[in-house]
Amino acid sequence: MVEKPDYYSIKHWLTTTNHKDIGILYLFTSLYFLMVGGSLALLFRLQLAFPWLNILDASAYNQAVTMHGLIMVLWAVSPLAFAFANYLVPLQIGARDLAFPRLNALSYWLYLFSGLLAAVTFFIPGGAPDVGWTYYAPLSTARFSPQPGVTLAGLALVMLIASVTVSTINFIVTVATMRAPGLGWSKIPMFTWSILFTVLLMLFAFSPLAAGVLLLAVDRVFGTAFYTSPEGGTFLWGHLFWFFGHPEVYIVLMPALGIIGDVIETFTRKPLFGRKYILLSMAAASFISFIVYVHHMFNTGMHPIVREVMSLTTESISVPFGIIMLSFIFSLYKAKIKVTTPFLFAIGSIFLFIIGGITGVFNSSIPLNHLIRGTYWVVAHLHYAMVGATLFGLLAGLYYWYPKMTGRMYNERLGKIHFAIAFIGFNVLYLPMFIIYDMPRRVYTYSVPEWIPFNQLETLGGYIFGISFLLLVYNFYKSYRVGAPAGNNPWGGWSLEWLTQSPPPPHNFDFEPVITGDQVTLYTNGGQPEPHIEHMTSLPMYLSLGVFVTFLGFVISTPLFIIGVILTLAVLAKWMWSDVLNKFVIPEPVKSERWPFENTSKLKLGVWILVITEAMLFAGLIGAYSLIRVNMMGEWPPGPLVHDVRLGGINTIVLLTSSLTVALAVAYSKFGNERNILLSLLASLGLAGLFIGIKAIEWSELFAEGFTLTSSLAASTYYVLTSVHAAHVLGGMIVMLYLITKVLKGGYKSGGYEGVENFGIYWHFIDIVWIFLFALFYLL
Amino acid sequence: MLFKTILEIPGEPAFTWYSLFQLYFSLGFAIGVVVLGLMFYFIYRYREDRSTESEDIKPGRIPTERGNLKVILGFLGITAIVLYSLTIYSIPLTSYIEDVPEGDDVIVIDVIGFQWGWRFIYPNGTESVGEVKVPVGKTVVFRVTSLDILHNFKIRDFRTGVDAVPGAYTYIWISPHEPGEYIIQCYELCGVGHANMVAKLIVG
Amino acid sequence: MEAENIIKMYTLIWVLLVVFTIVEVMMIAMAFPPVFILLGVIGLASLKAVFIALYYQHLKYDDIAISWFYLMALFFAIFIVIVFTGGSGVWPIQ
Ligand code: HEM
Ligand SMILES: [Cu+2]
Ligand SMILES: [Cu+2]
Repeated sequence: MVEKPDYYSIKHWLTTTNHKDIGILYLFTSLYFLMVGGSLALLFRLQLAFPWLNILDASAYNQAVTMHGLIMVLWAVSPLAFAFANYLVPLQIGARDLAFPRLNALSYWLYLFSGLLAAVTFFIPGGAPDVGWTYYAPLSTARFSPQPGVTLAGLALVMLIASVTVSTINFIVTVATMRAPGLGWSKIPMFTWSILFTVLLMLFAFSPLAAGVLLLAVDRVFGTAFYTSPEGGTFLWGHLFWFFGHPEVYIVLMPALGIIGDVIETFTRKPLFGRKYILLSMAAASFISFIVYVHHMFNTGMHPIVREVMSLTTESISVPFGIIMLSFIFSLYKAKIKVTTPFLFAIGSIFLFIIGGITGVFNSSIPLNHLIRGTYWVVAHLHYAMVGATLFGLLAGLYYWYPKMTGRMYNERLGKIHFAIAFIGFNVLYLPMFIIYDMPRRVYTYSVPEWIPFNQLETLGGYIFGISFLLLVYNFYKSYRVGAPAGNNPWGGWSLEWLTQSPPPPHNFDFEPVITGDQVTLYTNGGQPEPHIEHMTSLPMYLSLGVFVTFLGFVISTPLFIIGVILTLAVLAKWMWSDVLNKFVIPEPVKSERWPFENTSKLKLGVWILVITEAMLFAGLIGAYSLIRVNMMGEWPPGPLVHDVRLGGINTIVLLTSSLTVALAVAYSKFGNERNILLSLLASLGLAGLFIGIKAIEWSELFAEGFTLTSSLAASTYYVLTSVHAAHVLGGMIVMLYLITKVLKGGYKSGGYEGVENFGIYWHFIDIVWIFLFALFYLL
Repeated sequence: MLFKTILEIPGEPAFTWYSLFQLYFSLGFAIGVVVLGLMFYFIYRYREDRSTESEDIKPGRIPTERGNLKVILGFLGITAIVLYSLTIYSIPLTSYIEDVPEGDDVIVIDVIGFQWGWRFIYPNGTESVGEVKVPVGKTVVFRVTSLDILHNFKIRDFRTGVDAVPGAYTYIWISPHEPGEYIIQCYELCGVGHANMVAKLIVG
Repeated sequence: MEAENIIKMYTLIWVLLVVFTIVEVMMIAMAFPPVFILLGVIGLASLKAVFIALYYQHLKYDDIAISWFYLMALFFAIFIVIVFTGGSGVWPIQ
């Protein structure tokens, strides 16, 4: 039997890798950030209700608004959805855990420390960033916002992107390869589907943002001019930010839609109306969300055709959402509805989403947008969508799964009262914003007297809404101690999470769920649960702490920075060493349903997903290159005039040859020829080193000619893109060292040389990137 | 405020803007009411105690598909028709609002946004900060740019505005009918002075 | 495939890649019209990338779904380049 972990020990929570524990950690952390972000809002709402009192001055107000937006979008609402995702996705698909439990812990710790890093900015000189959550450049550059907080929060964002990337890999691989036998795609519950869409959106959206933040950081730290010169400037940031920013709002929304689907199915006691079409619509909306983002730049005077096309695509995105909402509503038709708290929150979410969606259609009309941009209309719209639709949906999930997570029922009456107060408070808060919709957003004061009563009403609503959450806290706290036992399945839900105990055991199921047709069968293995190994490790926590200290030190104190770097490197080395010794091996699931990845191992799929995020990073960077180059026109010197094409060509061939040797290493690993594997890897390592060496020579020559990092925008672009690439080469060299050590230590004795093959995928990708960089910078 | 009476509207393009807004608003409102009404009716009608339907969700039983393609295609058709007709209707209005009017009686005024204020340069070269005077009954084009960072030049009573982009020109126009004083304000966060980055538009 | 053949194939691909690179560099030395160079260079680079992806990264022999991911990223990359350039700044009216 598996021992029950000691949930009261702090050590357990610092070292756990179990997906349910991580889910709980995400839950509490995100609720904490929700509280922080909410308090900031209540603070600045007070200022808006009494603008003449100057409760906050302009700077404090801007800091509060900025941090409110950043924290709510990135560190509160989305992670709250991931609390459920962590807890429930493995349960819903009948898996024992996520594909990479240790990496999952890493996601969490990176998330926590990145949030703390963002929050720390309040306490450093110059204060928190005050440039708006959209971080618009050039306002966010060092010339206009020199305070270190802006850099620090940018680094926090980078850390968060790392966390999100790791989660993305984990969840895609889990859902793709670890479903219970017979659980085909069409049988997966709505919530898991919605998480799949969410992570797919994350996969393509977050890395281009990393590119944008990277350029901003380079601007701020090394004095380049990507965002201060008109050739890059506000357009460069606008594109890089909103290519992420629009999908991000669907990243926030999607999980709520999944929860609503599950909740409606359970409480109407009927299958969803047009479930297949809802899923198709979600897929369509996810895709379209990448091709609409220019609607945030309608006022910029950009080429009208780009804007008109994006206006059309934006309207198009409302079509799938219309189908989703109407299908949800028609799911109530001929049903047998049990009106419970989760159901009320789900209905409330649909109600508010419809208002949010309809007002979004106004925004996407370019003529209307000439007024709407920058007004409280947008504020109202986005809060109806993000707080109304999303947060209410997530609260539905919180009530819905509370009995599963705790084993106890909450107080239904208090829950309903909470819903009523929250719903009223919400509408008192945001509805008046539609009435005074031409008021500018992000102002700490205003001099139009008619706006005052409405603002005061809104503030009142805000406090009602905020205070209503005390009911939730009280209800959950009380019920956790004295609530009636919930049993396995208090709601009569159909999906797998309801078939196991509440709360589920560490290994999730005492049985093996197998699906045949539409029937779940539970094989009990003669009462013996499949052994589940808990891998306790503190490495993810220390690694994230190391990055936290590094970033903090980078901005505020050099000794701290050095400590951080040492800590990070030490933990990384330890982690690699434990992998060399195979301390942590999760067997490939044997019987799982894994179409269309039957021939792809978990690890390989994970590496591929990583490669895709890297591809999007370079897509963002190359997008920046093309934008700048088009804007600079004749001022951009053609490559052959600046660079030594022949040396560059030789270096390209060096890298191509290293790809050949890596490919050969993979080939030899297929035949188990260990000596040749080692030789090929050593050759690749040497060639990679040669590549870096030649690059160093090129750079020093360029520097000598006065082509330096800041000498022109063209030069800055060249150096940043090639050094990002070179950093990947260096990273690859470290992995090669690791592989060589592992082969030498006999780490691959038991099985094939999977690590070598997966590294190959990554290394060839770096080669492909270089082929394009060579063409773009040297040849054109 | 949400709506204004004709008398309160000081001139173009606000008339056009309001007519378009009203179209969106009435359609949006009507659709919202119908859809939400339907939702509440269903909840009322099919509540546990009133409904005679069976319970088809069973533990460990994958739900079957419900609903049919025709209804879904109906949803698709209705939303697509409403949305695309609105957009297509908007397209000529976009060029109406964005195309820069030309002619002898068009006055072109240069606007330079800076942290934190607006500088105006009249056709005859005189400059003023924080205040711009224009005549009634003529079309005025504002050629907008910025000295430092992104601002947004908005004349809310005329329902129009455009970004002030450093290093480039953007254009908006108004043609005021009503003499009076109107507010020009920055609508894009631009630092601590943002809330007070206002100027006066004096028509008359 | 036999060990010999795989190694032969990889080496052959490498020869192709090197030849393409040399052609690229030589194209620059000759005075072709700029559009020709642009298309030629991007075309050859893409061809090289396709070879690496299909053979070195084994896309040709792996689950087809992985290629979908790759194609998706490619689509977004092209989309980004087009929209970033098309909307790279203020549209000059006058
Ligand atoms: C369903 C149809 C939707 C449409 C047609 C739509 C359209 C738009 C448009 C055109 C804007 C730009 C307004 C402006 O700044 O001028 C906007 C802003 C915004 N929307 Fe939506 N939207 C929709 C749904 C959503 C959803 C579901 C969410 C979030 C869950 C959302 C969140 C936001 C946010 C956060 C902003 C403002 C970003 C900022 O400037 O800070 N929208 N929307
Ligand atoms: Cu958007
Ligand atoms: Cu401003």
